[in-house]
Amino acid sequence: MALLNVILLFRMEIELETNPYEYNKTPPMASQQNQLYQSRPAEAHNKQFLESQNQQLPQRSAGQKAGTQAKMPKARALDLANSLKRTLAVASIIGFGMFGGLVAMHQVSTTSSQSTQSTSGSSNTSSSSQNSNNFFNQQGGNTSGTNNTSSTPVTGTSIS
Amino acid sequence: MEQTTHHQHPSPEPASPNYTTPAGMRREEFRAMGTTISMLLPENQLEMGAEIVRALFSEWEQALSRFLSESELSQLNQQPGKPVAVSNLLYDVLATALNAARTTEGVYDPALLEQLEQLGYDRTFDDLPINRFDPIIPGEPGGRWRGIKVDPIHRQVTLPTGIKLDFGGIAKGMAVDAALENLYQSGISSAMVNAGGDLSVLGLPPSDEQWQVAVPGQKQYWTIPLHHGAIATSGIAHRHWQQGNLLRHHILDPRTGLPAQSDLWSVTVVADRCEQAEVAAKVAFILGSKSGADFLHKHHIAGLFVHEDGTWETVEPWPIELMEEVSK
Repeated sequence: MALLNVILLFRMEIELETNPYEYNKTPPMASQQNQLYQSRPAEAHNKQFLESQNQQLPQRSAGQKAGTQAKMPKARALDLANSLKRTLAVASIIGFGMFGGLVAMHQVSTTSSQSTQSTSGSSNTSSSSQNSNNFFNQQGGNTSGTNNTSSTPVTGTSIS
Repeated sequence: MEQTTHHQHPSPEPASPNYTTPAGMRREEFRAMGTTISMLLPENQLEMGAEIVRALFSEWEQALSRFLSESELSQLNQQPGKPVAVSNLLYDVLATALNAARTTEGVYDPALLEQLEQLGYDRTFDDLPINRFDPIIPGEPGGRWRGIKVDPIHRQVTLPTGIKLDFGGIAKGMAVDAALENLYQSGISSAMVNAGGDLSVLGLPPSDEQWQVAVPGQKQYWTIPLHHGAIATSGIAHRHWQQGNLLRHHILDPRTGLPAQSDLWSVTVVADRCEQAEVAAKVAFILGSKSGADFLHKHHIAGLFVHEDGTWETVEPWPIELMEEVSK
């Protein structure tokens, strides 16, 4: 997760550096749409309404230059992106740290649980099957002997 | 249909074939858990190894015997319906038994002591009279082990009212496994421990590449080489008794609560661990030849079935090509 965030941030940074002016470009589609709007009386009315609304909004100070007005959003956007990048980087590091901590705590608790189960005084009762859902979990190959030795048994199983 | 027989019992433990002791090893025997415990240990580690095994079986018997009123198991059985703090040993054996019950879908049932006692097996087998004349009971199906509550944090167990635990063979099998593990941790790398026919091996004999083990048939026995792991046999040839005119035995079918009506005389299995071999042999015996074979196949456990008429069959991967038949 943290790695993904870092990769996205780097991609964002590369795009900003290679297309520094893309923010201010008006998409060609937008002008066509405006032309379409102008051909419709009702939409023209809406445009007038929007212009009147814009006039009521606080206007830029009179001393501001037109060129400055065009570059400011890009600078602010870059500042915002950098700020966001730093925030995400810090959050990623913290998140990664928390995740690692949780994994470590889980391992510790599992280990302590197992060690508790295997301590039973002088009798060691550790059983492979106890930690398995399948009681008969088999490794196989128990009788992989040969028949070239004496058939006299050393012990025997008997009916119990 | 229950069998009507005229057996004279209790029968002693079956006579063993003449065993040879591998070079460089010594044999020791003692009584515990209602049976004979025998072991093979390296000559130079005999004293230490024998003491380890004796101490372990003594501890396990004191804690887990249903025939000792002061044992922890007996105390637990007397307190149904309320949480009881138990030792790690009892907890581990119970957890293993419940795991076995789940895996076998209840064909292995560790909570059939009430039924077993009602059938007359209410004292050690050595103390059972030839005939019991208790009233014949219809049998009560098992499955109530599912109601046992276990608290792994506080190691508390709550038994439902009306059931009692009997670990029986699985405790013996686990004790064998635990004994070998303790021997290994004490620096012994070659040993065999046999608890009344449930046996497991550690390493190999100093002078051989395998353990030659006898497997019982009705009129013969076979030897098979065991490289590692465990062998156990389940059947009714040894532990059976009369209740009125009915033949009773100790292997109960949880589906009826009565002695299993199997078409088999015995089942011998080979598994990684003795506890697994003990449970697998018992379950296959209860299920009978067809379902028992399916069960062993499902769990990749090798088996030898001896039928009532003395014929036999094997379940892969039983080492049939390595069997050697010896007449009794």
